[in-house]
Amino acid sequence: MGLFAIVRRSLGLLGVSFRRTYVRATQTAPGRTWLSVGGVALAVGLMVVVTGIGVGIATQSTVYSENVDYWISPETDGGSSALVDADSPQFGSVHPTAAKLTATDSITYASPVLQQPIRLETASGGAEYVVAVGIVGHPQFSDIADTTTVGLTPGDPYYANGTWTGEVVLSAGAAELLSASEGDVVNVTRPQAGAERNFSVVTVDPGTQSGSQFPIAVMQLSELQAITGGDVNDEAGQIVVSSTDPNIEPMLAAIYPRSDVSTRAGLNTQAIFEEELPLALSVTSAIIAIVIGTLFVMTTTGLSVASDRGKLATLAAIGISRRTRFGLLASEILTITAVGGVVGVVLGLGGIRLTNIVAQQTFISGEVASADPLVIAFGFVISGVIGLLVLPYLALLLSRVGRAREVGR
Amino acid sequence: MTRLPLIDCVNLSRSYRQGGSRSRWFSRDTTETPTVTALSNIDLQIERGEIVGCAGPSGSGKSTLLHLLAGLDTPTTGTVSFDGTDLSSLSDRARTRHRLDHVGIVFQHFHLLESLSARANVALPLVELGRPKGERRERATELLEAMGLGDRITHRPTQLSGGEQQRVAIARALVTEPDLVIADEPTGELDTETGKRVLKRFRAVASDLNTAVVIASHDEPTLAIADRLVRMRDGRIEEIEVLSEPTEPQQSSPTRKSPQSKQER
Repeated sequence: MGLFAIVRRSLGLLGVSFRRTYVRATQTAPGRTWLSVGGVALAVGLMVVVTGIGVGIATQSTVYSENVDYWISPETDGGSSALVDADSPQFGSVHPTAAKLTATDSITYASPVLQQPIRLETASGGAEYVVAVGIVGHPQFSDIADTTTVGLTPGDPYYANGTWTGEVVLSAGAAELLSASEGDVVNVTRPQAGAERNFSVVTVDPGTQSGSQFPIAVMQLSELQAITGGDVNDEAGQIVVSSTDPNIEPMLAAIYPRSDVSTRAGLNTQAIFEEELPLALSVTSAIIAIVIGTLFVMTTTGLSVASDRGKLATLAAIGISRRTRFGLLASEILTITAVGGVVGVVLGLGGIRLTNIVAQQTFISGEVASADPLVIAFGFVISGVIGLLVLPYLALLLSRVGRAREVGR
Repeated sequence: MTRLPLIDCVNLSRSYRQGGSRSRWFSRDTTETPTVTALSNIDLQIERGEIVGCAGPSGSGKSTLLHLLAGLDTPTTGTVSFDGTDLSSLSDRARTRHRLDHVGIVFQHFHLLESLSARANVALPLVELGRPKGERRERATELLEAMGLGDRITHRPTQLSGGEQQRVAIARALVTEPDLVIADEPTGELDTETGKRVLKRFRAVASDLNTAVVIASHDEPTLAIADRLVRMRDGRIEEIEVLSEPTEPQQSSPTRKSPQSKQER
């Protein structure tokens, strides 16, 4: 048979297969066909949701700093983030405490961290609320809350010698919100401060970290305390400590009563949560989807071949080769799994949307699941894999069922 | 040089185990499985262009003989040679190809694919042969019109009567212009007039295309078309009656196989 004849045969068989699939789905065997589609769709849909959650976790912003080994924070009953919870319990006398910790040999640096919402006003008259984060700068303390600290004078000069620096580092999100750039002057208005203070934007974060879209303004701790009234008791919400000594945790825990110390181990857990858990979730859900989907399609394929054994025998009897019979059924299976993949991805996207709605109405402000295009592509790939995995089983069935001698029995 | 018959059956027998095959792995039963003999010691030659009728009561072995002649099944003993080739020596794949190239089969229960239209059912063997779409449609339509189904070509089998389905099955058997047509009760569902038209078509195929036609039937008027009538009973040939001499092929027939179709084979 020449090349053109082979192409014509293949196209003709595809046409026969599609017609057969369409008629089966709409008239002769709609239940079994849509059961197969539903099985694949369910498996792929669930996988898309789980993978979407995994990707969502991986792309969520984090308030943790990469170069901090310990966090000391007040015990709280609620689950809200300290970064946005301005009314949470605060530590007092944080400057001397941090200085004392920094003086310890095994500690590289320690810095109190105060978070307060403040209203920043630009020279052009625009005003927006941002989350101000006050720290005591250190050469090795490079970022906080996914925003760089580069540009801030180390050692908190206003606390140390009364020199007001007016330095502020804006996150990419804050700079965009305020339409501010390096060198711009922003005013801070805070009723408790009783006076306006000017700040100069020393750095705008390049926005390369995952949380850069949030409006963050990093400044000297004592200056933030001054404009928010926290200087009275020298308050801060947390103290970050950089150290490689695993034995200082009890000492840190003893500094303040009713405080929690998060260790690097805890941060590592967070890192795993951010980097490896989504991968593990995706792989596990893909494997489960493949196994469930494949078993589902295999079952319905087995039923279908068993009920069609007379037709298959007829095809064999009139001279249709086993390869062609396999091709007919294989393209039917691949069509069904492809349709199942499309339905599954649509279901999965709906599931992601639903997950986000439920999450936002119950326990989180952002999105917990992401409808990334890669997740969608992943769903289609998995449905294809399911279809391909069923084909060897189909070949095995056709070697035993639907032979020409069965015709008429 | 002696010309070979198209079909040559020598000492043909077919037995079946009762109750189907039983796995030795799961059965402790060591007794021999009883067998039933469906066909016994058949010797039969069929020439090109000849119509052979096959008569006999139910269970006489007609269908078994037809299956063996078509290469659907293999004999327990003996041989079925097609144009000098022993069909038992062919692999399953080769026998399938043999049926596509040389045999057209009309099943007693039609065995049409219900998801395909009448035309698609008829054209299906041409798809396997890789014929162009236009040729497939034209050939299938032409045959269905010849069967009086010109207005039913897009109907699916479930939308056709039993007689119409039978004519679609006959058209499918003839679409590849085979060397041998096997027909099991081909007029069983047809009224007298349509039955006559179908039998006339078989006669035209036999004379025009030099095709051998084997018809199994309980209906004596249907069998009257045959050149020879094989009467069977209990798996054996009881008698072979010569009803008429085969007609010579007509070279100028409009239904003659085209050179292209021969070449593609």
